[in-house]
Amino acid sequence: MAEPSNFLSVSGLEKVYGVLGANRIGLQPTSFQLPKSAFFTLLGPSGCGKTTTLRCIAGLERPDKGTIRVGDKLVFDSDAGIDVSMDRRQFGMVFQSYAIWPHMNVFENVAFPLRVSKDRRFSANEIRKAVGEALDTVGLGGLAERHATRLSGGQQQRVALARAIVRRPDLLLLDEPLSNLDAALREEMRNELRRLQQQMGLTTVYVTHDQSEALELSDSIAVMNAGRIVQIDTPRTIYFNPVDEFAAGFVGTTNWIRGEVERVSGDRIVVKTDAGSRVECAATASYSPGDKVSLAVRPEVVEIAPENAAPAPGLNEIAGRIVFCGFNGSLTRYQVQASDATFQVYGSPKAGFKLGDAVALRFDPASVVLFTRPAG
Amino acid sequence: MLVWLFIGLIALLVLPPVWTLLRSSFSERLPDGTEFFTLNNYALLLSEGRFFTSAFNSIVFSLASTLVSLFLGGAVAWLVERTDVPFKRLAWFTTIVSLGTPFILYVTAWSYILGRAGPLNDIYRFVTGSSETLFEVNTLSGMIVIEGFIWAPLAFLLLSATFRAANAEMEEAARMSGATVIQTIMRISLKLAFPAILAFSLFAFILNLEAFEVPALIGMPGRVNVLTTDVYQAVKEMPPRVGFASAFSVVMLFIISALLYFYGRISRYAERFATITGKGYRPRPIALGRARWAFSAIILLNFAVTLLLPLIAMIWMSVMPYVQPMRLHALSFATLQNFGTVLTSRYYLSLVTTTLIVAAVSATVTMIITLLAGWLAARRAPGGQAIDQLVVIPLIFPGVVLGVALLEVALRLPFPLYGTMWLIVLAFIIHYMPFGMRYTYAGVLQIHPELEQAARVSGARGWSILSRILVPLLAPALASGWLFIFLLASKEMSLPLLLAGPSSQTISVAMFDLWGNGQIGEVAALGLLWAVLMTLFGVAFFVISRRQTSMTFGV
Ligand SMILES: Nc1ncnc2c1ncn2[C@@H]1O[C@H](COP(=O)(O)OP(=O)(O)O)[C@@H](O)[C@H]1O
Ligand SMILES: [Mg+2]
Repeated sequence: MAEPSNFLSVSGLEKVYGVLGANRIGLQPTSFQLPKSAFFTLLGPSGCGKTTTLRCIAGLERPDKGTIRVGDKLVFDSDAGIDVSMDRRQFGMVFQSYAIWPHMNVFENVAFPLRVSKDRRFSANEIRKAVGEALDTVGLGGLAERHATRLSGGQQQRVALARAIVRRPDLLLLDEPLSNLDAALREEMRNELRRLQQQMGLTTVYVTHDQSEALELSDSIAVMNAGRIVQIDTPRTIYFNPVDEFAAGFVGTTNWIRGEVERVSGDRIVVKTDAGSRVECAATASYSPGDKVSLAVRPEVVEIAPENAAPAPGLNEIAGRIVFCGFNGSLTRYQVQASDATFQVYGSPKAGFKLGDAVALRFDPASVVLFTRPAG
Repeated sequence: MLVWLFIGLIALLVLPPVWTLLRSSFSERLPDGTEFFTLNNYALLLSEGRFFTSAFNSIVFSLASTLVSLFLGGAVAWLVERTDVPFKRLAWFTTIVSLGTPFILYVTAWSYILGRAGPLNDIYRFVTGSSETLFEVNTLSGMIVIEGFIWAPLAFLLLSATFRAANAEMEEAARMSGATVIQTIMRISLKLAFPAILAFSLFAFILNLEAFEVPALIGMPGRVNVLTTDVYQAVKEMPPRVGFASAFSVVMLFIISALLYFYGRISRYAERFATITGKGYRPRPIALGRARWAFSAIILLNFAVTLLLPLIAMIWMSVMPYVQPMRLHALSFATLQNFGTVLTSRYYLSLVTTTLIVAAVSATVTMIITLLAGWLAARRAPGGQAIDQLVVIPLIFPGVVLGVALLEVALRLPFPLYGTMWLIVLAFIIHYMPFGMRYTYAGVLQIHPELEQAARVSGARGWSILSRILVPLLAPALASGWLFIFLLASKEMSLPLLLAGPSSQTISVAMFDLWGNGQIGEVAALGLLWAVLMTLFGVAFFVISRRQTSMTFGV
């Protein structure tokens, strides 16, 4: 049996479609492992190689190099020349377009994987039972006889899901399954998906470009950029401790301040910003005076206070003026023009700041994430 | 008010042929000119065995040649759109060139290739040493093969649109569910394409049923008759048996109406299948591996039968003073005299001008009428429904039948239309209105009504909306519709053959006559030059309408 910590293990996976100038289009060597029953998300902007990774795992695309192992089954190994064909890998997959066959009804769509099963013949009774269970699980109990062309987007999505899980696969692969749904349905399906995954203990690889989807659903997230994984971590770590400017910028909203390290004292670094103010940060890596840096400050860690409030020792403080305030019920979003940047910050919906008010922005040095800026 | 005038105009175009046919099928004209009601024509139809033989031949001919073009064109379309087969551009090139080539030219070429003196039988005799012929071209099988080749490009064009629009994820989902490649093709790919394939088959079946060139040029010399050639012969007999031909025609109209009804239902069904495609779809051609070179044979075969072989045959015939086998020693007879005759003769020049004028005027008037008709119908204006139904009526007329009907109409008119090219123009307008309508109707549907409403809110009225908003937005649809009709009209043979007078001959009629006189070399030379000219229009059509074709035909 494989180690529980690496039920799915992908290593050195590489797929190059072509070369554009100095860049190779496709997937650069990529490795990751995940434990059984994990919900793992590939997150990144469009064109970064998420679908390619997923399709390589599925067997729909043949990687140039690498190995893919699921449980104790080696499904792909470029050196050993192993390439289990996609119909023998027995993974469940939900496509972005759902790919519900319009010439079959709901029942036949879901029963298809059982009807073409190679290792075992299913009796009509077994099929009826398995399909019924799958449809109940996705909440489509009464719709078995409905024709596929008469389904709403959300229902098609559920049929696709039922078809993917009806064989109780080792691995469930989902490619942007919610991107074709409208906003309300998307929220609902998000909860549904997580419930179903936990209930069945399905090891899941999920692809999305929507960061809030990824943060909410996943046990762990791989942030991808230009064909590479830049960080694999839990949603919390990804959000509060991104490893580089890309991860910080792509996941969530970030306020950027540029500056230069002025001095380092113990576990504190003092940065002189380009506009001349000073910001303290916790030292997470070694820096020396003169290093050019970027500071990332999440809106959530910034507190907004009246200009003349009593000073708060130990916190950074930046003065500014409110240039936008938008009340949206659960909070009020402000834009504050300071000398260094325009900050995005959230206030309680009850706070009574108005457009044009002079305010003070305060944040803990420990919540600032520091990145070295490449020279130039 | 204007709308009702317009409906009246359309009715005046499409209804008289129907009425005339019905009337003359039920009447007999005495030598003194009086007419009386009779069922005799129909009785004759049923008592003469000839009708049943021809109907049987028509069905076998149409069915079999549909299958030929479906397999050839369909296979090429699937390979080009869904796999990584080589020579894809060649397949497109073949199709474009064939768009503008008159059928009579193909028929001439093939009847030579498969004929007694042609290379097929020549090679056979050479290899076996016998003096027999391997293949007799003036038979039903000869007709089927040639007609099948002629429509293969259309099969390619329509089915490639289907395969291009198909969602590859449908097939991938089946593979992920554990289905093998064969299971996927059988249970998913073919089933999904089935409505479109069926719709095309029915469409091609109707076209073949209405076909005239191949039955006239290949079938008649071998005494193999089908319904269209029977109608033609009945009116060309002396004295013309108009009543009998009309009865024949009325029966055909019923058959074709029934087929068209099914065609409409099937293509709506096909559309429903086509609507479930996803976004974010990137076509992923199936890798054929080493087999791709084997599969490329199909592309090359298609190229050979629809372009290369006919072209070689035409060139050979055009430089030979008389028809003879393709042998090296015959090259010493080679001459450009045929081209010389064609290029210097005033007669040919007048043919070219007449044909171009007739085709251009017909295409222009048809597009103007159908622009209005398509707009009113697509926007469900009052009367739009009536227009929609009137405009498609000519679809039930095979060219020959419409020709017979208009001949009757023209003879009854108080002013002399018969013998002028305007009668041909009138025939073309009626004949091609349904085609023009498909372009404009589909085009208008694509334009969001709010664009017109915005103009209306800005203060524009009917005509200025039409000319300032609709026409500019519809320009691509109008242009491809115009070119499509222009191309069809300039190679159409059956209508002008019945309607042309001595001074209103078109290219295809002239080629038919030359062919009848055995002046094959001139047919070939004229046809080649004409095909080159038409290919230029074909390229223009293709460039403008590549996107529009699939949408317009709904398959
Ligand atoms: N079949 C293909 N041929 C050529 N390039 C491809 C193909 N599939 C993907 N690519 C390219 O590879 C990169 C990654 O694509 P993809 O994995 O689809 O990105 P994502 O799913 O993250 O949006 C993109 O630049 C894309 O254009
Ligand atoms: Mg993608």
